Amino acid sequence: MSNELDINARPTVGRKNRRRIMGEFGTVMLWSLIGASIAVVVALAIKSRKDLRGTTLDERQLQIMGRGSKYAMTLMVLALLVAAFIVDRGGPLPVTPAYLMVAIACLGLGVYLTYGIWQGAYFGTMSISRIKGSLLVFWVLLAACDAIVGGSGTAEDLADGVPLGYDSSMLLLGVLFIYMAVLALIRGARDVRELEA
Amino acid sequence: MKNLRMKAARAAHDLSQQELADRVGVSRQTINAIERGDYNPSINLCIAVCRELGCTLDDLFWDDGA
Repeated sequence: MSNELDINARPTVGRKNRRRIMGEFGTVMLWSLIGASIAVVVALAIKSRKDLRGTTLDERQLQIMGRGSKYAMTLMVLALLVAAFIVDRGGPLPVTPAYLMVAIACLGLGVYLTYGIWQGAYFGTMSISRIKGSLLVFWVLLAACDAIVGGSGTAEDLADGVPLGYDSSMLLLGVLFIYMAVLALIRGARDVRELEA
Repeated sequence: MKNLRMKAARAAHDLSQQELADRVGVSRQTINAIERGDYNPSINLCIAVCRELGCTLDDLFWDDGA
């Protein structure tokens, strides 16, 4: 083995180190984007204070959101029971219990929001799209944050062959936020069609 | 069952679903759901709609089976 220094060798970064660097980068990006998202939402909300009075839900919307929360709660309880059984009795899983819990939370949230948005009950009684628009921007920014943290975590975990953990589960939240934004846009387009009809 | 009488009264006042919704303080989808017969409104909402459209509860919401 030669002890000579290879001046052409590229500096190497160990996996652990890379994970730490990505983690720090992800954290900085996450907080920057969360800060930017909050600033955007606050600015838009201040700009359109008049519209805020329309953010309350009317009687039909309250009824629907209540029904949605019942469906989501039932599904989450069932999913938790199944997950508890699998974790306790099953063999090694490709995901950690933390990832499983976030996945179940995403499932419940997804059911609740899908039902609410699709029934036109999520956005309150306002007709102006400013708050709706700022919420969409907020969701997309959150999705970007989650995708950065979760994407890097997932890639690292998959490369290392370790079960997907909490860091990776952020990708699920990112996907959920994107899904909500897309669903809201589709519902909005349906509203426009209804108005034109 | 569709509430065509409410739709007709709204049209007679030249109001869109959104305008009526804004006046009675509900979402446009709620007015749409009432007109399509997908939602049974509370008595308070019925009264608010009747006031805006200048009708009685019987005019808009009583089904005489005819």
